[in-house]
Amino acid sequence: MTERSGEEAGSAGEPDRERRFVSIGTKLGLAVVLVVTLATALTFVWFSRRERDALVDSKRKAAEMVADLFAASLGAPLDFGDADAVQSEIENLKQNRDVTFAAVWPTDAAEPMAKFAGGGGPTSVVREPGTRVRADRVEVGRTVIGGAGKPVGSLAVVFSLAPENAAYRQNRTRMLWLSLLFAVGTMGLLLVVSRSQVVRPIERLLRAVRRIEKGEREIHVEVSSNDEIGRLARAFEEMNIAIADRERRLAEVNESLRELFDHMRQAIVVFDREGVVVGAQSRQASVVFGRERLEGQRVRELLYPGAGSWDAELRAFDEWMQVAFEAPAEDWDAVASLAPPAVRLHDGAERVLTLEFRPILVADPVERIMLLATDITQQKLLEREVALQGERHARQMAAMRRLVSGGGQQFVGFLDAARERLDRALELATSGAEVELNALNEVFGQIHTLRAEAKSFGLDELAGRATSVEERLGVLRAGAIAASEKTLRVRDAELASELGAARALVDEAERLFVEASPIGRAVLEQINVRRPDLARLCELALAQGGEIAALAERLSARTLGEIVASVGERASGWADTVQKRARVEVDGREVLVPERLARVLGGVLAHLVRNSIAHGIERPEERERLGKPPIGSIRIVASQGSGAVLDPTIQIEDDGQGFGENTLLRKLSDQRARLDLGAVHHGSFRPDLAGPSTDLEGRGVGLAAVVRELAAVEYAIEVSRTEAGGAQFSLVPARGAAGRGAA
Amino acid sequence: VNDVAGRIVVVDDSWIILEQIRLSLSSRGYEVRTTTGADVAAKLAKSCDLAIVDFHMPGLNGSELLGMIRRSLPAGTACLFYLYTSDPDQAARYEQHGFDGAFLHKGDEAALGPQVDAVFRTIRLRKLASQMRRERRM
Repeated sequence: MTERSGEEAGSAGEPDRERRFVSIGTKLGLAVVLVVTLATALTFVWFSRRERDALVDSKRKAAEMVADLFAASLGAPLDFGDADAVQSEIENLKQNRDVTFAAVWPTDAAEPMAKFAGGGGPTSVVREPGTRVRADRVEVGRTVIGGAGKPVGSLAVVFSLAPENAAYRQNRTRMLWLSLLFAVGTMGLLLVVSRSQVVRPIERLLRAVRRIEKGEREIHVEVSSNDEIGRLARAFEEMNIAIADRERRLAEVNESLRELFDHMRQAIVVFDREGVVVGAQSRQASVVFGRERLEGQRVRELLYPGAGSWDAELRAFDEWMQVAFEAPAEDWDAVASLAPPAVRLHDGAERVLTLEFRPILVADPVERIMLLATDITQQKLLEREVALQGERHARQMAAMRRLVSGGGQQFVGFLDAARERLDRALELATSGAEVELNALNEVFGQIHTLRAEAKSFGLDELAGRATSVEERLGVLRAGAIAASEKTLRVRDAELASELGAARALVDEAERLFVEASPIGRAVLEQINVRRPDLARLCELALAQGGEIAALAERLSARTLGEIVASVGERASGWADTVQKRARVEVDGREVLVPERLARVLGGVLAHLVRNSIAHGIERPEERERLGKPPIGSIRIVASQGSGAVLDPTIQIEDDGQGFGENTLLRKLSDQRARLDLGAVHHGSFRPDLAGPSTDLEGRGVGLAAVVRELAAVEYAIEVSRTEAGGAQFSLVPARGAAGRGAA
Repeated sequence: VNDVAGRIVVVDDSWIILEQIRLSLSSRGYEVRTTTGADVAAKLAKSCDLAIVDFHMPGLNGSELLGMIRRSLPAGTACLFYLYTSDPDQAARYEQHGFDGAFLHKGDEAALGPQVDAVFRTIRLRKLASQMRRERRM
């Protein structure tokens, strides 16, 4: 048997399929008929020849015997030259019906002495002694010996073979029929055996193969024989079981791979050197590439859907794939560095995928490649949006800070005027009432001014909206002028929408302005005045007492935000010096602080914040161990008193570890007790008890000074703990505080 | 391709577009030269890896311009010539026009960068493949 290579088999496959199908049963049948017919024919010929030879041989022997007797009987007549006696012997010989010719010659005579030639026999024969068998007769020649033992003549006798030939023909016909009967029987038997023992089992195997081809695996082939076909069937079943087992294990591996892939939350597919996706894929892959089933798909179609063959990125990928599958393992890193790092998919919305290629090596070179794709669209959008927002916010904050540093009065005036102008324009755009062209011109002029002002304050977006409104109003105005109309009705949804957006931008500008201001919303109510004038006015008014004195106190007051600004900015620097991280949050920046308290409050707050950083806030690693954010928080919360006199309450609290080893403060904080000079001088805050410490921690004298300074402006300090255990100091008016003095 | 990601010459009739492309590709590490004329383009192409040529230009099209540039280039110049267009049909016919490839989405600088990167990756890939083949023969 000759084996062909796959390629040869493939190339010859098509003509094979086109050739007419001839079953093995037919071939076996034809072979059986041919062989049996040939064998029967040969047997028949051999037997029939043997039969004829036997008949002729018998005749020949009989003829020789008769001729010998005839020669013996002629010895005396020829010795004496008795022709009558010779004739008489011939007459006796004629009694044998098989004799068709007889002749007797004396010695040296050319003509026979006596002769008999029957009808249908020969008229002359060879005179030589011997026996000659012809097709239809047997010729026998003999020498006649006389009494003296000398030859006296010769004879020839011919015997007909007609009876033998007739018998032979009859026998041959019978043998022919018998041979045919034997041949047909043999053929039938062989065909039945070959069909049941060869053709049918092979057909069953073939059907089983077809079912396996269709994906069926639970197949049993019924072959009970123990011959080669039986062995083939059993080998087939074993092969089928092995295939099913291998497929099951492959499916298990695929499932495990899929689960692994799914956990990786990446689109993962594997492709072969044809660029076709094979085997398992991650669930994310279906989502990212938007196709339920990826197996059998071309990876180039997934990465560059709809790209033309000229597409530069697709061509680069095709070329890379060709090199990647030829590259030896040690060159993979170099090849992988030239793979596409990312692709943009344009299926509806643009999506960005980062790509990573990893080799799957069974042998050198790479057999398959794993593609890991990560959808970073949202990340990119977010980055872009954050960058844009950051830029916009920075621009606006810079503009606001410039304003605040120069006094916000002008900007607040702009905001109020802008709202008024926009409201006026909005009314015009939505009322549908008939308006004078002059009124439209006036609104146009106001929006034009608004645009210029917005531009001057760095509010580019608002200026852009104002430009759109201006253009729209310009179109309306031009239409009215062209129609020579002095009045017109305006009902313009697009214009109203633009005005609404501009109004929202004004509100947003105000929000940012307040956010940028160290004194919060109070900035909206401030006016610029000369401080010496104000101080003198307050001095005079306070001397008057009553309502005017209260008003003077308010006028001379400063906002908490103003006082606390520098503390907030310096807190992170203080924390850095002791390897800690902290930030200050202020709630109530607009709370008014009376001038007498404002004089000491900056120093007091600076001390308490430094105190929190030094003793309360833990180091970042310690905070993380405790489950806290690494950056410590110090909150300054202020609330305005409800009476006519300004008496704000200010709390300073942190999310640190509380008062630590300071037992007195711990004890006081349990009772929310007020610290007074007595407590200070009792020793709790004495320098010698505070012990040596860092520059930030101080030597314990600071808090005593705080108590003293606050007392001088009729304020007291209470100590307590937050719910989370952090330290809390409250600055309260001394006359209204309900705290209990420390022992 | 040595110390820079690659050397590129861009040919277009609009200085605004040339400047935009220059800024976009420079930020990706390429050394970009720009010109509106065929003569200068031919001189620059001698020392560049890639030439990006606009198709629609006043008086002549990219194909004619490319012919002029190629005629004045010495044999064996390694520069690749890519058509830059927003028309997919023109891009598909890049070979007929005599170009080595085509970049689509003209005007979208964000889309041009990845396409140029792909060409330079291919240039480096071809060098690597030829080196690998040499090593295999040794």
